[in-house]
Amino acid sequence: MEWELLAQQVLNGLTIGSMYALIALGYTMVYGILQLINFAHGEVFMVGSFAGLGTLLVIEKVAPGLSLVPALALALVAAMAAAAVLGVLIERVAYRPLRHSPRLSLLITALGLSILLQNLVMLLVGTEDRAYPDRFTEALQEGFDLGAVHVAWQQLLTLGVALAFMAGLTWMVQRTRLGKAMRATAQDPVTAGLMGIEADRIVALTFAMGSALAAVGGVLFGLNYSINFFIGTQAGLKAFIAAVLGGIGSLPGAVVGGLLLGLIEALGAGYVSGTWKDVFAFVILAVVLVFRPAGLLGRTVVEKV
Amino acid sequence: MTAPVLLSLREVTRHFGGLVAVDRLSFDVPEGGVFSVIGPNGAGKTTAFNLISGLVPLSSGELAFRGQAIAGAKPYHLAELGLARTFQNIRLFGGATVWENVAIAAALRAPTGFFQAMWRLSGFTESREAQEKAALEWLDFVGLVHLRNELSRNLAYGQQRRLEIARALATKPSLLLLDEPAAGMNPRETEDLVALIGRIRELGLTVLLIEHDMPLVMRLSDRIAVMNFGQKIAEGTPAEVQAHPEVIRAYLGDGDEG
Amino acid sequence: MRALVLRVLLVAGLLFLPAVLLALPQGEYQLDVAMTMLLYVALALGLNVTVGLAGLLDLGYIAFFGLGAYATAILMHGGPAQAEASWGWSYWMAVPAAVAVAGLAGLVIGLPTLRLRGDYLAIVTLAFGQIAKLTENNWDALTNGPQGMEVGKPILFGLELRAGWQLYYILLLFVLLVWWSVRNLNKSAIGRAWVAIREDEIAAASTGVNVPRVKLLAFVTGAAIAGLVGSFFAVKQGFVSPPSFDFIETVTILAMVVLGGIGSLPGVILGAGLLAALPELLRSLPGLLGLEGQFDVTPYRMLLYGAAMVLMMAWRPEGLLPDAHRRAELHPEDPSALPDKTEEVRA
Repeated sequence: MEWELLAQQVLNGLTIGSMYALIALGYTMVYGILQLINFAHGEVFMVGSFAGLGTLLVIEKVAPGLSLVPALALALVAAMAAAAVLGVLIERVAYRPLRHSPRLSLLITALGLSILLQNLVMLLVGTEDRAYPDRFTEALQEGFDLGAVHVAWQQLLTLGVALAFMAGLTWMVQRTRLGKAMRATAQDPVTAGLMGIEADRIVALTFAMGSALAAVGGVLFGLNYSINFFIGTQAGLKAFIAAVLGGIGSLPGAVVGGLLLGLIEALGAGYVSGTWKDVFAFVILAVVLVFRPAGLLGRTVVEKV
Repeated sequence: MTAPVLLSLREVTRHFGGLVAVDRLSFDVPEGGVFSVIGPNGAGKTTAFNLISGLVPLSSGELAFRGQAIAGAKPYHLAELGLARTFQNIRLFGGATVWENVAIAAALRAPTGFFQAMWRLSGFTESREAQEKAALEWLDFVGLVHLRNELSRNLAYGQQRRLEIARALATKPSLLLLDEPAAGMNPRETEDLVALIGRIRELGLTVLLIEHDMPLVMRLSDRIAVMNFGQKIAEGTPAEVQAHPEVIRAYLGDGDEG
Repeated sequence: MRALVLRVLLVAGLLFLPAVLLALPQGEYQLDVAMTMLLYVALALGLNVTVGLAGLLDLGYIAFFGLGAYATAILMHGGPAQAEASWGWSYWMAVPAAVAVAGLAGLVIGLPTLRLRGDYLAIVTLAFGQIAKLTENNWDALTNGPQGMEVGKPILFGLELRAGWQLYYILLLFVLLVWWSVRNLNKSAIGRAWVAIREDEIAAASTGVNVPRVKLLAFVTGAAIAGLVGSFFAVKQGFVSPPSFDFIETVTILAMVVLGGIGSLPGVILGAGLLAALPELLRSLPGLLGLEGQFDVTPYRMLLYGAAMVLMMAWRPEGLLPDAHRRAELHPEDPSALPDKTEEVRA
């Protein structure tokens, strides 16, 4: 019986952890290039989740016969596009004018944006919980049993989609010209600029990609849980902790941090206490900051003098 | 050369990734007088300064101030020991007034306690007056006392440089590190600076100087260390250094490429 | 001189305010609004120390307020058992304890975090706020969970201070104490050190400013002030429960600081007064437009705060009433009598 509980919790942990990882990637990408914690990132995730819901509702109206996979793919693409536009807009309108302002101004702007977005969505959709259409969630709740461990399709789907996007991002950053330009800009924007890389464009692209990944996380979240205007705060905080745990600025770090955080939470909830589940993440944050602020895979960055 | 050693570097090294910015650098700065570090751009001079003043940690090697190991010490502890510095790209507290810039430094030697400050307990007035007095005296020393109530970011460039020196002096250092103090100055301002450094050495302070302006270095220095590619390639009196073949090669080579 | 006269007038006005307000229709309600405004003024002054003077973004501020309130409730009543008020500590002993608890919490959180970049502090304090609320909701044995705890009134010379105006004077005393303390700090070497780290941390450290210590002082001072105000809040409401200490409150207070002018004492007081009165205004607005009970204004309030933060940072980062202190002038009695520096240092 023991190992089955363990296996179940590991599976649950990896599922939620892969969503943390997707959001954490956005934090870490923006941080790597602008050294800015984008507080509004959690809200982008939330907006992405609602965009996915909206698309599915429209599909149910317009083409109720559309089968599961194309409908979900459509919702995913629409959510990613909406989030990418929102991300670019946020960068362009709120952050770019402040790039030479004190850090505190940027942080306050980011916080203000996050509150603004949250309450805008709340005015639009109300305060109550919303669920993705039953057709999708019910079908995905089924699955198969491995001994006493229940593996739901939605868990496999979440893990699969998340890993696919993470692999895609890694390939893009490591292998393509665009990825090289991004890495160059993150390391030294001035030199990169001299070499003909337009820093502004790269920054906008980073926001677009990070936001689209958050939207993937948002849609997957919506398939697993009910959503409301407030999910961005908690998810954003957890994802940030995941990014710090892995080493902020490091892409593999965000993935490892996300999965690890999901595992720790699931095991903590299973073996210690469900009520205090959220506290585990914060304890991890405290421990990392005290003993290894650079995170598991990060490097200590010395401020330039 | 009988003066006791104030600052000594032994095999001081700093890597940034694969790059060696400072490579097994050793020299002794004797007490009193002006000791200069020169070298072509990118020779590692400023990194050496940042290592000495505790802003960048050493990769390896030893640093001693008055015989006491200081590698790894925080900048504010070094200031307490008597080591002060200025910056190549001036770093003033721009939103504070000129006198406040200096008073902040003066608080190191005449500290105000927290509760003393909050509730004006006994001793508060004494420390405040000591800070204000020191601020005025040092501003007078560098010739900025008439500008004391200006915001420091509104000063002219040369004035900002002098304010930075006043701020460093207000910590009552025994070793003053000046990082390219003449950079960007016109000939008149440079002359004023030479006079100012002369007066600082008369106070009994030791000056460690990084400078690009060669005639200035040759005039002011008692002793010079020359760096290239992170290493020390020569050390001696101005005359010795000027005649050193390695130094000539380093500077001519630099000129060829530039 | 003019400033002094103005200050005396202001304090006199605040002293007589209850008499004036109670003479108005709905006097008790007016007085209550005035107290809410003063409460926020004190809170904003405290947050301004951390955010405005030292430049540290504290997003768990309201948790320190909550700690002060809960500490007061628990100490006065010996826990959630709702024992007789006479069982526990007197309010006057609970106040310093509440300040100490909040300050100590600030120390514990600040110590490891303040070594790191400013962004980390924002996140860690945000997380702290969440943990605090989780604890308030779930540690039933200590806090009575979501049901909250009742708190008695302060007793002075055997007299129970129940009336609004009596409590008003306790609050006024606290507000003046906070204002005086913060103003003194601001104008001292401590305040200058805060400015130094806000302007340039590296230059500050090289100038002998013990950066971690000075940051910690600002952070703990803010926390302790929040704890003090929290202890008053507990007895004023007569009840403490988790919803009073939501993250939204931190955002509200931060909006006050940002709107009025980060780092500016008069600005922050103005900002707090304005925004604390705003909900009352918004509440009466539907009534004035004949739309009584038609819609809830709270979401618009938060929307407004968020927008205000973004817009202020973009257009007027110094706030409505910017910091005048930066112009503090120094006039020696006789500038010509400046001593010769050379002598002193040589000696």
